[in-house]
Amino acid sequence: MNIEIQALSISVGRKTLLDTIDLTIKPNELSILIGPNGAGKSTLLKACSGDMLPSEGDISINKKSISSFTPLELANTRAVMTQSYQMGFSFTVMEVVSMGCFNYEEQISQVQKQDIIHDVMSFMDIEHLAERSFITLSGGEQQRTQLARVLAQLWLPYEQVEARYLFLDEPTSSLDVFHQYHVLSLAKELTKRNIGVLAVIHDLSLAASFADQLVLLNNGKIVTKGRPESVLQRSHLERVYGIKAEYYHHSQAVKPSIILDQNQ
Amino acid sequence: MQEMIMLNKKRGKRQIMAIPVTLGLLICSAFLALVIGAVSLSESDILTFVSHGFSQTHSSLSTRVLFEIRLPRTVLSLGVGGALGLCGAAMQALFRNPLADPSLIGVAGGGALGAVTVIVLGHSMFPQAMDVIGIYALPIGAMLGCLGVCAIIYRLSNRQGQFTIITLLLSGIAVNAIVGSLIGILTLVSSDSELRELTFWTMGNLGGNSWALTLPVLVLIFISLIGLSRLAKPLNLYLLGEAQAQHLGVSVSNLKKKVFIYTAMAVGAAVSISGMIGFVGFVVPHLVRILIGPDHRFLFPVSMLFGASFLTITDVIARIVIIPAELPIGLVTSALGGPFFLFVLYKQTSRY
Repeated sequence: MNIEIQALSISVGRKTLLDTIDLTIKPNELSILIGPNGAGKSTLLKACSGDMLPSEGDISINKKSISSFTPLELANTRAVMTQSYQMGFSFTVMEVVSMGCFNYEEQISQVQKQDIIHDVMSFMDIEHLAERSFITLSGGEQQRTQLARVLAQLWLPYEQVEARYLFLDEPTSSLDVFHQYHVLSLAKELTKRNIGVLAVIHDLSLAASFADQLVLLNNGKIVTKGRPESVLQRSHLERVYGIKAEYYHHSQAVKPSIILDQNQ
Repeated sequence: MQEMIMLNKKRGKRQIMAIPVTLGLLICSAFLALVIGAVSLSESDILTFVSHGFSQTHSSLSTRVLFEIRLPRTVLSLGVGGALGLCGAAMQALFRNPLADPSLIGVAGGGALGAVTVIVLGHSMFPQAMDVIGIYALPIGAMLGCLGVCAIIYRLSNRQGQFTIITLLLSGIAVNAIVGSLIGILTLVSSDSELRELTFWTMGNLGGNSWALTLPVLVLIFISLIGLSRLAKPLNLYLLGEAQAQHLGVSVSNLKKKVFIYTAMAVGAAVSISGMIGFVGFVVPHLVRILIGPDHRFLFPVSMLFGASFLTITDVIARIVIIPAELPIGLVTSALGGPFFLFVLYKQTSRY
């Protein structure tokens, strides 16, 4: 039970966005995509979530090709948090979060639904915003609201035999430091419930602190993948990002971080 | 902050209260529409009529007025108003824009083109056909015009199975412009009396329709409104964004097509018989949204009920202002709806 990406290429017109990608996403792992702007991280995430069809190659989720899923089957298997979201009408935070229950709404009672909404909202620390209109929130609060909605989609069933997946495209971009760590710890928690997480993160230290598998993309290709300490080598960082920096892990008591040289 | 929370708690209560309130309004307006008119009928007339199970037991003048004039007209205004209200809400959701209304997908322009063609060219080009279908010619022409133009816009925006809103919007604008110029050409070659008929058609009129015309229109409206009502929940998710709705398990492309087709059917049917009645489809859902919020599970039924009551009341006004003549209803909806809407909008914005 994995997501298997085999020789995946995606091109739009003449531009190749992804070039023969091979990758496995395991349900008990937190995989993090890193790479410079335009490397193809979001494209890869979109391909995995079914938004973009492969030009070549194939993606299979739990041994079933992604193109054979119906929208509802996909919704039962994976949840997606996109980079941007627009909202023209003034739904309240509570209403937005409750939409996450759409795919299993018929199978549960109103009380259960209320409990789930309450749980995910307290998880994302937005209970006090419940009655506020979504469009009046700050960027970070909006992001937490959307995360709560996405979490709600995977909330049931607690024990699922079939592996499920969560795709997060820059989930921490507008969050303060506390919530950045909170969100990634939560993602790590989910991997213990047979949910595989694939996230795009720009902050290398943050990525290094949480990733089970780190995937470094550049120009639509995978440069390297594996444990953070092996991916974040000086040579890779210099070649891909053009920065001189060092992976530094002082001891088990602290998180690792990326330290930049004085002279770039 | 505190006030915000209060406001939304209020919204919840309003959502629950809105349906019974508008239903009450609908019953009152229907009753008024039956009682008020050039021939005065008393409440007891109506009650005996209703208690006799709507049957024409004694064919006095009052029962005939009631059964052959007032009742079809009232039922029609309820149906057309409901269709305009609900379809307006559906269009605003489809375009994710509170300014959208059904004319964007070509129903109004197409209907007008069909009607103009029948009025201007009907008698000279197809005299036999006009004799055979008689009073049905204008509604059939308008309906065909609607369907034709909607079908063209649908085809243009549905490429390789991708039904994109931006193409829909742009092709809608382009096709409406072409249709407008065709209407202009036909207007140019029309005679004075035809021009008059045509102008009145574009201002809308609910009168003079027999049951034979009213019933098929109501059936079409009924089917489409049922269809649209079932899309309320997916449309809520659709407002999060197309990709987001798809992620949550909604088949977005199907949803958009269904909304388009049901709206074209309902508004097409309404326009074909009543002419163009502007403003209802835009103002009613907008007002309702200000009052009870954007949740379609409440917005749809309330817009429908409120649209039906609103159009019925305006029709009563259109009938009695200049007895024995009648005002075109489109004038009344805009004249009443406009200031009322401005008032609500002004109150809304001055609050924050």
